[in-house]
Amino acid sequence: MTNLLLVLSKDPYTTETPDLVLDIGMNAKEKGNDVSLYLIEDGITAARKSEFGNKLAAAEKKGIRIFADDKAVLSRSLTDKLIGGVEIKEIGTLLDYIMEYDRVVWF
Amino acid sequence: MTGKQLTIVSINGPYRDEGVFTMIRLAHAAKEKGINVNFFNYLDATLIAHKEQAPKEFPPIETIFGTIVKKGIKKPKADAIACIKCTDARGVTKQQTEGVIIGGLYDLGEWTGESDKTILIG
Repeated sequence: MTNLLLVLSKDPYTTETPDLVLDIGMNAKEKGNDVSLYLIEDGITAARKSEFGNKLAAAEKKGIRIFADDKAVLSRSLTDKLIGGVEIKEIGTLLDYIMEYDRVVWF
Repeated sequence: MTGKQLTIVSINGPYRDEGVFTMIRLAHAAKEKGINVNFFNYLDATLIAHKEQAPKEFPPIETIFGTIVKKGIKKPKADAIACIKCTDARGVTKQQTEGVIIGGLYDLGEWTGESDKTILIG
């Protein structure tokens, strides 16, 4: 089993990248890997209460951990507008994860 | 985590998104944690360290990045390398800020081999 960290920096309404990331994460999870999704920059908008947010919430229920960069959340005033299950973290935690996870992919 | 080494490869230029700021935030966090950081500026990211940027509405990226490189996240010979083919193509080889060395993909290969982790921000 591999620990996989997917870092998403793109919003879900400009490109299909967030859908791709979610597909990769779900597939990896189904294959028994430990998967985390870290939302940063515009990627945080994927966790808004919305159609895409619902997809993330379903992924979280299947065991994918979802983290959000604190500055990305605050700068967009999204603190109370995110789906449940999102853990807000600071940049040092992202750095720890980058160093600790087996595989890190930045989108 | 002291003594670990992280290589950050950037491919995007400044002022189009927050990528450069994220890279700088990671660098500061790395310094606090004692992690050595290598910056490999590739493709449009070779514009990050281009001297004499004068944006009207944004902080000048070269100054911020240059401060990190000059202070030295890592004490060895090079903290930051800009890809020579990329700088030549953009006409910025001789205008890189102090502390940025002109190099190439072989250098990235060496850094990747030496580092505990290499990430690409793009």
